[in-house]
Amino acid sequence: MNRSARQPAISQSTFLPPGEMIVLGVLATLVVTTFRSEFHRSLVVLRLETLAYMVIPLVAMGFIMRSGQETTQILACRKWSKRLQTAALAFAFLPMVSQIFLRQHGIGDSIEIVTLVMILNACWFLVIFSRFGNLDRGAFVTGSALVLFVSFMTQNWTIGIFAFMFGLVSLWWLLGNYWSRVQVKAIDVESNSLPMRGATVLGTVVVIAGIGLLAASLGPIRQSLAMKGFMPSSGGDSWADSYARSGIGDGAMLTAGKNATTSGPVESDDFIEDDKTSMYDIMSDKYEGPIKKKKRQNRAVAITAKAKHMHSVVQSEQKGKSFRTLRHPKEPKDLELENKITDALIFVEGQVPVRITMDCFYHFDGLDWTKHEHSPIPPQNGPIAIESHLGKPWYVIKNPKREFLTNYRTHQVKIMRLEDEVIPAPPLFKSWHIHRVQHENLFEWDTQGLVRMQGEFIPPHTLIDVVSQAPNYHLLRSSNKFARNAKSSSWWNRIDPWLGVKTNSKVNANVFPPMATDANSPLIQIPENSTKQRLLSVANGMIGDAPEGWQQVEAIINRLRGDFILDPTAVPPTDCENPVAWFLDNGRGPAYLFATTATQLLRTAGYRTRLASGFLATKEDYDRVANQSAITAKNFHMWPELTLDGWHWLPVEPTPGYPLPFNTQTLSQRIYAALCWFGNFILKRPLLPIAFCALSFFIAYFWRQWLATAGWFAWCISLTVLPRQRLKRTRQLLDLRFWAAKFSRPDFVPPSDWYSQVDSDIAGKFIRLWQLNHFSSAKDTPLVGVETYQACCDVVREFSINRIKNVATLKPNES
Amino acid sequence: MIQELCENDQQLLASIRNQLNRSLVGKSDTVEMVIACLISRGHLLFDDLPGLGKTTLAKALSRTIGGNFARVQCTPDLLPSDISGFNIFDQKNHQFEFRKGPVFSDLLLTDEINRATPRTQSALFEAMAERQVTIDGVTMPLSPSFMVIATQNPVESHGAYPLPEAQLDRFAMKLSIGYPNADDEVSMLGQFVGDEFESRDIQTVITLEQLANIQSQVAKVEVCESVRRYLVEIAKVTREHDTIELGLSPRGLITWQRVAQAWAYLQGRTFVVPEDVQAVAVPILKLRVPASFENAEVVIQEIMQSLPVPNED
Repeated sequence: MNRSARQPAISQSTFLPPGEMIVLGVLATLVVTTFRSEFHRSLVVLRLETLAYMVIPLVAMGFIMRSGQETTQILACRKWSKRLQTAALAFAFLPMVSQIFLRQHGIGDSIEIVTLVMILNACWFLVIFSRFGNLDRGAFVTGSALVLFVSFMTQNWTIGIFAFMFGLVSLWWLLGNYWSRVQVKAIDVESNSLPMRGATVLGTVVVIAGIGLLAASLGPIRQSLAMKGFMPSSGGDSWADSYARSGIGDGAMLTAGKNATTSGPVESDDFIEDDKTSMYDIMSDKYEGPIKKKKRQNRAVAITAKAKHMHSVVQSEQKGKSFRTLRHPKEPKDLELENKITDALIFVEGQVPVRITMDCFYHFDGLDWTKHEHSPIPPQNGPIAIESHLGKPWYVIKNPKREFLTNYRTHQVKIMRLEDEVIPAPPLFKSWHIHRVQHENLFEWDTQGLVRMQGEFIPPHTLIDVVSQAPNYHLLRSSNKFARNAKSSSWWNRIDPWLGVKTNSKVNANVFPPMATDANSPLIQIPENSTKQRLLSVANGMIGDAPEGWQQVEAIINRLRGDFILDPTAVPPTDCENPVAWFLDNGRGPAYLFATTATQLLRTAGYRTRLASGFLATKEDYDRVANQSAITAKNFHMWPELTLDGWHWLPVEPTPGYPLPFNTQTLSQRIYAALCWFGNFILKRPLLPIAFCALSFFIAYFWRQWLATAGWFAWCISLTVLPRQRLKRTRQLLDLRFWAAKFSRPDFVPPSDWYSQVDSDIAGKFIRLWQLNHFSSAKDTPLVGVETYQACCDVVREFSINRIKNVATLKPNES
Repeated sequence: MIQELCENDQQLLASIRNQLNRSLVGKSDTVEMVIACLISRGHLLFDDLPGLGKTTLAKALSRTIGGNFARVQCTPDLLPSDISGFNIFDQKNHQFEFRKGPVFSDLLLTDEINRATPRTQSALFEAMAERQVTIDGVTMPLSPSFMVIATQNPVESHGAYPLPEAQLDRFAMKLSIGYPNADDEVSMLGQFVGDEFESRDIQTVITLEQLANIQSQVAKVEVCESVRRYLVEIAKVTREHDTIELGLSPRGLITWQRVAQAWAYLQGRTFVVPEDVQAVAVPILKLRVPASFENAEVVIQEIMQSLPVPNED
């Protein structure tokens, strides 16, 4: 009533902007949003953000319309025009404020994009309030500037279509605006000149278009925008911004192309002239060179005679043949950021963090890690076959399928400056594809259990699609069948035979061979020195009560990650005889000591382990614009790998601060892993779903009665409590029985009315006492207590579910 | 707070019940409500069609309690002084002498109250709320047992003045007697064979002092906090209900509690249970539901069903 009285005489719809203006504003928004979507990290956030910016002025307009002010008064008032211009300015700065929040979550925008959105916001605000003080001209100018600018900066055909539509509507609006002014001026006898405002606006648009064309003709927009002092770059100069779309410090290779498949600029002279980098160089670059000291003749070596022979063979200074755990401390280098050339060894496109295995070591004598030189050590390696997928040849490693390997990951690796014959691939490498390469014997297993290409090294610019598997940690943790000498210790193992689980020990023995028979394997050898006993006690302490299998592995790794400190500068002294013991004493050290110690501890616990080296690409290395990760020498890393089934090497990460392997999974990967675990669990227990269904059916059919029975038990116990509580429990039990009989008492009906439908006499006696005890201040007396007990028992005995059901059939529940 | 009921009082109430049931055949529920209203010191509004026994019941009640009975037939030309009384100059004594109006009775039957003008209706405000009248600046108390039984005809609207909300709020209940069922009508007809209409033997069974004693006993009936909270919650719902313009006032809430106490007393209890509140909800809330709303009981039922009854403290 009052609301209608406040309504102004003139329709509030006069506030709304003209249709052409709204279309222009929407088209400008579409152009900018489409442009932003090429760079934005989250399309969902982008759309929500755009929608929010579009809605806010509309809400403001709604408030003005509801304020009850006269339309003509607002529209004619100059003060309103000023106010709205100020509001438009404030609204324009909203994206800058929102960046504070968005960048906290890693979804910010570059400065130039934020500026673009700020102009768009001002434009949209002016569009919505274009009726106020002739703000439509401002809206048109800013919108046109935006559309023209963006159109020149991109080759996206969608933006071109939107821009074309914007042009058509603009023309329509300009013509309408022009002729309406001509009409007004013609009536106005005092003025005989044609309106010049329209021409001014048109001229402004043309000038902006000219500036855009000029900017576009100067060169690629990235370079022009990243000019030093004008916009921040993504790195390499003094004004860096991690959200910049590009920068002058990226070097020729990063600015070369959008993804790893492009190869144009990397063929520049600078790149070709660069020396290739070997793993030895990378290792030395990361951890400095090894300390060489004279070896004593009687030093204990924890390897077999055969291995000892091999070890002596590899004592040369050839690159990458060994890795000494005693190394020079690394000294910080003075890096010149200005004009730095990116020294990317490989580019990786795909999910990060990811480890790229390049090398591995098997023998450890307490000081040096050495490789295996002769025939491969078991675990076994399946044959390499060529298969065709989608018309492309893929090299596939024919390892037996394992239930704990459920997910697949794909990466694209591009060799840049790395000189190596091993295929750079993530752990659990499964298959790979190189364009036009399908020679059968081109790839082979090397003695380290890695796939290498025959020849000297994989040529630079080679683009390799690699597919690797990911372990399902649910399966690894929940089953102890991966353990040696598995025992039926868990609850599930005891009832598994009842659920149809096949307990064929031979099958398990083939899949997970007992390692006890392989006691001489170098994979479980540790140096025969004074540390051996200590390692054993440390490993036992770390394992604690963890069941045999993957949980023991995790226990060791977690203790190392939690109890020890990563300190790249904390290296053993040059005269140190046993770096592992030194590390255990000091509790800190570089990553390679973590990996070495973890390998020794895992071997002590009986798990077949090796030391792997390669690269670790973390999310910090991911270039969101180029959609790839540039891997340099600083990404060099070492970690242990162990095998449970004798075929697959599972990486673990003992070094704190480094991401756990396969820990970052997408939601779909997590769901898929969980489903695989569940499916595997059910398939192994075929009787479980049948039992579950039968139980569910049974419960669903009788669950009300069961609950009522449970309530009766609870009531029986409560008979010993005070009469007041006893009456309450009895009332609750009766309600439960009515519910079980599907004749529930509605909560607005008092118990007396409801219960009396079954038996008014017995119910009346009980209800009288119940009401007396709960709605009056009369205290319980011994007489009342006895009477209460009898009344409760009577009503519970008489009000059986079947009797209530009989009443319910006669009087259907009207509630 | 009373600990137990007096046997004699219950017998008196049974006698009243018996007498009223004899005068109004087949309407024991209505009779029970009338008694509840009587012992809770409330005022009663009968809203029903002509000839259903409104006046008969009122007259029977007045005879039963043995007090002074007065009747006002409301018409548009009825003046406030016709109800409250007026000062008249006595030429013999040369003094103004106060002539008491019908309001100075124990039971006042205002027939067709909605035919009186609002001015005249307002003359009852003070009498109903405070049991006193003020005439020419002099305040005079009314009988402690003063009770108004008003009737109104919902069908005839010509020349009628709907009762204002302030007036309605002073009534405790609004009752509709309704038609008796066929058996009761047969029985009723049998009673009138060979007998005169006015000659039925309605006896006085309770004195005003006894009634006052019962009324004071009713006021002492216990109302626990959960029941009081239940009442407040219902009042809140009536205040927020779309159909009800004016929800239950605090005065209405107090009246409701008192009537619930009376109902509990009639049931032989010394404490109020939620059932008592629900039992008297319809006649009390009918005063607050718009008179034009034909299906008032549906709205009241909806209100009552929107709240759970308190089970335990």
